[in-house]
Amino acid sequence: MAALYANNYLIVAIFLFLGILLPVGALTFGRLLRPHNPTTVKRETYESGLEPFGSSWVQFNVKYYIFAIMFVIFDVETIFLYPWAVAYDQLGLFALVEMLIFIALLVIGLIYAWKKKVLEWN
Amino acid sequence: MIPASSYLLVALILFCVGLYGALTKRHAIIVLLSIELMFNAVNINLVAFAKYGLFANMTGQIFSLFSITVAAAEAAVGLAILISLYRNRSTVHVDEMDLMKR
Amino acid sequence: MSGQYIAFFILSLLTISGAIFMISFNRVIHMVVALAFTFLSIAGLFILLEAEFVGLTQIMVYSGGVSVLMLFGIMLTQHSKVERSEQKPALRIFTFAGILAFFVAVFYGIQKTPWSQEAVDYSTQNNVKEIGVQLYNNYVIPFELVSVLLLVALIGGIIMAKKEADDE
Repeated sequence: MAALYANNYLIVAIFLFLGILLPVGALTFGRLLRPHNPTTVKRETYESGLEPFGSSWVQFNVKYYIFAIMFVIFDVETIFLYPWAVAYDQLGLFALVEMLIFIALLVIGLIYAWKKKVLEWN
Repeated sequence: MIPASSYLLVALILFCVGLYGALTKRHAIIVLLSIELMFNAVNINLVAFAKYGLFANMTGQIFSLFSITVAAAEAAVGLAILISLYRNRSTVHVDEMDLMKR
Repeated sequence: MSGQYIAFFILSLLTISGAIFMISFNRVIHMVVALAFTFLSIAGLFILLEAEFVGLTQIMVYSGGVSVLMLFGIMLTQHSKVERSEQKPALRIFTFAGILAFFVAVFYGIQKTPWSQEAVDYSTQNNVKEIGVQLYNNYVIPFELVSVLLLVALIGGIIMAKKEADDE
């Protein structure tokens, strides 16, 4: 059994290795083959034909950050939902009540965010 | 079998690097990242003891799940505090946040 | 069994070098990317320790969630690309000496402690199911506290970050 576990992850490791090797290899190969002759006009950023202006470091809107917070919180919620769903047939009614309380508390958070109009995008 | 002490050594090195970063960097986001590194070192220890400990059982893995959760919540609230601080004082350097010292 | 040693060596090397790069890079974005590599290889270490679910949690929450959160935080507060300023050199040397002493003390402790030689074999059981059964039978109160913590983090984060939107 232990060997089976190791073999499964050996396949994952091989896929990971190939996945890293292929793009790196392709880009390096392309770099060796293509001609390299940069001029100022060629190196300019292409922005729909307009002249680019300003820095690329602009201040982002804080709404993106609020969405990122909500993503992380509900991501963590999934972590706890998954083992509950897998072990459901061995857990009783009590676990169902536990999970309902858990979800209810997070739904309160979602309703709060909704009422505060952070989900709206205008 | 890999001895337990090698996992503990990796965790110790990570913890020390994180501690150094948290104490010497001035950028507040880097300080938060270093704290996450220290959290991760602790998680490695928990999972290693779940396998190699004296009374080895699943508790170590379950508590590392809780610790990951707490770390995620801490990162979310910490960065939100940092953003509101940046809005008021327009700095992200920890040594310039000294309103209480003056 | 030697494959396990090779995997452990590569993963711990990636973990530690990611952390060292994180400390020594100059640009904040590069630091976050280096740290994402560290998080991924720590997930590998968890899988090597036969804690599959914790490893996948690590990938989901840290590499997928916290790294992105940190990137958004940087984009929202950044005004210069390069972060070169650290604390004063005297403080840095003092801190380094203190941490070195801590490292040596704990290293000595790790080497001297007689760790048990046998390990539990988790590879024969269904890891996720086992975690589910134990979590929802023995750790009810921590689990409900986690939901309260997440609620507080969500509402607190929104209150802290939202002020600007009201001014507009």
